[in-house]
Amino acid sequence: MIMKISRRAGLIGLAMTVMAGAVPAAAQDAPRYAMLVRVLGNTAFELAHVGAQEAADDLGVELIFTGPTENTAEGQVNLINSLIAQRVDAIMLSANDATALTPALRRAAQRGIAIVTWDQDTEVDARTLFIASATNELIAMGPARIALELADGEGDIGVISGPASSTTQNLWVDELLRLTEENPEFAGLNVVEVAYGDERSDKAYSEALGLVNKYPDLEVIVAYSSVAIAAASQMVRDQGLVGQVSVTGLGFPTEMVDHVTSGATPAFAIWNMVDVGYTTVEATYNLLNGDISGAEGDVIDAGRMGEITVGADGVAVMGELFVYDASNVQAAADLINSVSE
Amino acid sequence: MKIRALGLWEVALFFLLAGVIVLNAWLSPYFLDVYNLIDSTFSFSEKALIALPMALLIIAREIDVSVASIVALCAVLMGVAADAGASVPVLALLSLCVGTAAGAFNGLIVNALGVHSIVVTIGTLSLYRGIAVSIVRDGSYTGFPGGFSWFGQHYLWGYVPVEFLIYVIATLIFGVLLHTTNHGRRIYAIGTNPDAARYSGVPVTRYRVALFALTGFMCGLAAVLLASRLSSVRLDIATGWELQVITMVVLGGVAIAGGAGTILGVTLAVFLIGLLTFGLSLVNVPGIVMNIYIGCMLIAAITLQRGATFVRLHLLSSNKET
Repeated sequence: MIMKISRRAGLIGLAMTVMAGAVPAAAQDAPRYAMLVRVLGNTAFELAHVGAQEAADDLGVELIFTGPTENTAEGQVNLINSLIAQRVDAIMLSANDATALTPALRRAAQRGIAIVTWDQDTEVDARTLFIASATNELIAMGPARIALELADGEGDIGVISGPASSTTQNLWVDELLRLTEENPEFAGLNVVEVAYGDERSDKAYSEALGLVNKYPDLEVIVAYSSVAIAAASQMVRDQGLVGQVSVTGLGFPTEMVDHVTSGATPAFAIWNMVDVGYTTVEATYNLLNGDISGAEGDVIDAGRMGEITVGADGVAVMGELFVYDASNVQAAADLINSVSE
Repeated sequence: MKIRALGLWEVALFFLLAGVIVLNAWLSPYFLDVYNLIDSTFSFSEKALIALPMALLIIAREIDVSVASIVALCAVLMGVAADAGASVPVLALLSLCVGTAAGAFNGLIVNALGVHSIVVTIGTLSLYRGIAVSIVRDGSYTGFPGGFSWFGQHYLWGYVPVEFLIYVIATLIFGVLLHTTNHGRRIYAIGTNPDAARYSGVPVTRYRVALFALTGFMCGLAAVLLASRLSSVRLDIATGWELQVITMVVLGGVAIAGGAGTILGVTLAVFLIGLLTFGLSLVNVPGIVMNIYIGCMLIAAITLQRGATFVRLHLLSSNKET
């Protein structure tokens, strides 16, 4: 019997020790916004967290940053339920499934929680606002505008996409082709070929090499893939073509520092996740204050990001992609390295 | 002697559960809220349904690590059927049949090859998930009929989730099956010593297939609830469930070597993990850290189980009074 009692005591003690790591949430009067990401440990979301925290500090809002360990809808649904239970004021989420979250989000809305999506949207009627970093057209336009500048208004460009089966990347390439055909601003760009790098460095490298060998007048390689832009830049450097053929496209600052400083990629574009996080919190604040209702034509006062007009279906598009060049890529890479540690 | 030793484990779990409840209530003001506690059952009801037959399997010295893949296969096939216009009862029946067939297949292969079930079910884990993925690819099925959401989203009498009620009823059925029937006694006998069981006339191979089929059936049931709750099926559905289900069973005091364990223990472990996870999520402890807590709890459970065996064998027998 004594044995039993001591064992029970031991187990309770164990429970206490196990739980000691959890810190009680401070009860506060400040509004609490929850930022729910698709999965924890992803650098892009950590950057959004940096921007969101900046806005939250400016606005006097308590920010809860959370996300599932596995990128699954079930994980996010469980977290939405726990956020409902905590009676947060707003849930700002990047949805990892467009439909599976709808029942949980509806219940949150019924309990008076504002739902704002960013990065990846849910079904339209499951949220009030969607903060989109850019439209497909704007994503295609970012690198295209840089290419236009690199080619001095006209010239042959080669395009490298991801895998041929990648829907989103192909949409961007289609938009680029449409821009060069229909938009007089981009009419000077002559797309000679669309190659597929399959998101593999070696494949993208040889595709890029193939482009410069096949088309001697090629001026710019535009890569709609972060893998391909780095591989193409490496190829240009290895072949001693810096200055003759320029590379641009969508890339990550951390992977591009060397290529930018070497001159292979004078500039590239990407959505700035810090700004996305910042804008999302600002927009949510506007929504909860009653300044906007999420209706078409509402104007969000997004602090340092200026004013953003809400479009149809509650979609607010932040605008053109952020351009990185030799002046800012190092600082951006340092920031990313600091948050991913 | 045996009953007393089993009781010790449940008592320990009960106190651990009480500790978790007290701690959670202290950590978050939102924990002791009836609605919140009811809603928290959604996060574990489906997995707990699979833990019940898994307990029986492990007691009988078998294991099925393909359960999450069976759930995925059932869910994907329901998605296909829903797109083809199948009605709610047809969808549910399909899932139960596919699950049962997949489980029975596991059992038949284990019997036919005579290798340990962990080897066979690691194979079918890839096989079933592979079939599911090749059907759904990178898309999703969302075309479920309106009434389908009843299983996973409806509350009976405004309070009790259908899912949770199904789980409670299933627990009672499994409890009665394991602890009061001949079948239950035979399952323990198989787990304690399969050869002895066979020589005493227990049809071991038939029981094995039946238990695997039952596990598959419960996976089919869980798939209905999960697909209904999410109203969407993608290739990553139920990812990682096999380990969570086995954790519930082992923490519930079911001996991984077979022959011992109770439904009460598994039930306590289900609530222990469910409420611990829910409580930690209320104070926004990241899932990665939560996994560490659950891992520690599991290791502590196994250590204590070994300790209890040691106590039973060495200390209690030495000062035996009768």
